[in-house]
Amino acid sequence: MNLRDLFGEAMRNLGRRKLRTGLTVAGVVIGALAVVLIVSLSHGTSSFIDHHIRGVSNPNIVEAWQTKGLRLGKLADSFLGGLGQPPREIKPDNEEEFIGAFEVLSIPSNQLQQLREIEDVHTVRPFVFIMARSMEVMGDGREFDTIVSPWIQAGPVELIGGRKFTDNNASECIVSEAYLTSLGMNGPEDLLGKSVRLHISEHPALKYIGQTGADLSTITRIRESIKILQQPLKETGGIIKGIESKIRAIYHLFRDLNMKPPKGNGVETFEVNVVGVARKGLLANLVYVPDDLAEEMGRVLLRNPKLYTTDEFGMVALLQVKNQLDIPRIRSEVEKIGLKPRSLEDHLGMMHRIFGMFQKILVVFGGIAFVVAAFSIVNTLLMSVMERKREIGVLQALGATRRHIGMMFAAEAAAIGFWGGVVGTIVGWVMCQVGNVWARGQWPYILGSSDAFLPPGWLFPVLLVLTTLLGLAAGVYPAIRAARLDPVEALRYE
Amino acid sequence: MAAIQASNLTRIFAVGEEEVKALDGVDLTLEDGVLAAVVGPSGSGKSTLLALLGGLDTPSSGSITVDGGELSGMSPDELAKYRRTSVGFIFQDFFLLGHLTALENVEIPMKLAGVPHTERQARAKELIELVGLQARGGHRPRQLSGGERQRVAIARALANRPKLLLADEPTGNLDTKTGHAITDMLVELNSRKGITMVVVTHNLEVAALAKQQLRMLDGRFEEVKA
Repeated sequence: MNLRDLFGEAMRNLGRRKLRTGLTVAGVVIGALAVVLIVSLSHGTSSFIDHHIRGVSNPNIVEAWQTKGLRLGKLADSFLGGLGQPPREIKPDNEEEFIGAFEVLSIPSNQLQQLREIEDVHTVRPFVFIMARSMEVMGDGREFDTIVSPWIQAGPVELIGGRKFTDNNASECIVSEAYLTSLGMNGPEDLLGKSVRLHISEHPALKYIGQTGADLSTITRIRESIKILQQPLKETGGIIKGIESKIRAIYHLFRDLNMKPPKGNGVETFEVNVVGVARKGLLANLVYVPDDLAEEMGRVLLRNPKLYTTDEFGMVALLQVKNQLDIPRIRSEVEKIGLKPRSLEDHLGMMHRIFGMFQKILVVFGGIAFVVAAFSIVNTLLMSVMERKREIGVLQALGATRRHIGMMFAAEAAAIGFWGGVVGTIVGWVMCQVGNVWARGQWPYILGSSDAFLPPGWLFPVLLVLTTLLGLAAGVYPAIRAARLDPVEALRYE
Repeated sequence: MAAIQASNLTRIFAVGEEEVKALDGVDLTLEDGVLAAVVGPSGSGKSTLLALLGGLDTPSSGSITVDGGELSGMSPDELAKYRRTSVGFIFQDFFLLGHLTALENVEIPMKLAGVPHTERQARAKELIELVGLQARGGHRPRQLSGGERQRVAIARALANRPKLLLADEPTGNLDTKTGHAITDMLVELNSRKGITMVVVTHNLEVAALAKQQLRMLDGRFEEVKA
């Protein structure tokens, strides 16, 4: 019996009990449908986030992270690992894992110099974090919420009007086209050339330090000065040297304690010109500023004039590379310097790993539907074997081998799985499209033309193979039962 | 040379803890092209003998040789091949597959033998014509009379050009007139095509037409008329 005859016969036999076959196929359809929806939603969400992160991130940047002092990743690992555990002893080699040992260490100047000397590194800049309160077009009077980003961190920005920056220190900005809607403007030309005010906030913690005008670095200096004053003279390397350092400490102490509080309410305003309008991305309220200006804004956050200079560069350096192909080599050079490299692909990889993990967990739930469907197939075929016992005997009398009989039932099981997969994927695909229309209606600004449910290309062929194999596996036992029937007994069966 | 040779054929069935001897040391020789009738009361072992000759069952002891080939030593697959290529079965209850048409029923043995589609369709049509059902080939068994169903069963039995035709009460479920017609058809097939036939029957009129009559009782041949 050839394959065409075998599957033709299988389909004909399944058609003899349409309702029962339909219900059994429905079990597989539900399993396939669950997997299609889960995988498509997960893939759609992952692709959506991937696309938008790439849209607002510079792929030519390698981050170099300080490995000493507090590291958030290590802190999180330590915190999660310590849950439910008895209190741990703090030792010199693990103290940075404790929140109480909070210490931010800047990348030292010698390492910065080494980073700058790496071949094909175009620029080395600090990672700047700006807390922007609002953006206001001069003369308009209204304030709009905003995220201010340094230009170096910007992704592949597409301008719909104007130009990019020509000077790192220019008082200029590029704003998202979404502001045109908020401002009630018709096109980019209405906004280009206008002066806007960017209101930048201080870190909320500074409000609690007092009204002396001190910042975090001032407090560190005061502590250092007090320590020098308490130190016995004999431990300072000589009386003259000791007296000299104590006088200097007293001077610093008086200077720091006499600092005047800054004017205003902790919000500083920067006036810039709009030189470009960028196409809207997921972060619709983005305003880009040149890098030097961004660093100036960033210093406001911690009220620290030395921040982002060689003296106090910060924990993270951004290395702009000329060619993405150089990133692997530059990563390894950063590691050799003693810093931890991270690129856009690392950040995306971590996100995809998290999504992948959730996807696997959800697919297991979908798999449960498949297990139920498999039992249903076994049950249906065992009933079929019983009902067709005499027919099996007739086929044996006509010369069917055990293999013929077994394959006939296995083909029926595979056909149930195959058609369940076909219907499940078609219904799943239709439901994905319906889901996309619904999701775009619910979150038009976030999704735009993106798909919330995005079935990956491999899903449908893989699912068809999977459901067919599932059917085949479920058909093994009934097929063996059928094949092992004794022909004489089968012929006598009423 | 004898077409079928059975010697000291014994078949014992276990019924619960007891053993029942369905065949008890039967010896049988059938010449090539012979029409043999096996008669006897129910439970005398006629159907068991037919099952052994057709390779549906294997003897507890003894041997069966068909065309020089020993059946008792064959594997299940070899027996299936023997049934597929050398034997045609005709049953009292016809045993046609209800979801298939008459022509499709005739095609089954050829499908199992791997005969190509067009070839087996032509052969099925030819056989349906041979049994006089050319106008009924597309009908399903439930649309056919008892006699017509048995004709389809005969056509199916002939599909792979068997050397041996085994009929178990072929007229048992038919009225007298239809029974005569089927008997005539079998006799004609035997004489025209030279197919060796063993017909198990209660009908003495049918048995009278056979060249060789075998009367069974309690698993043994009581009388053999040649």
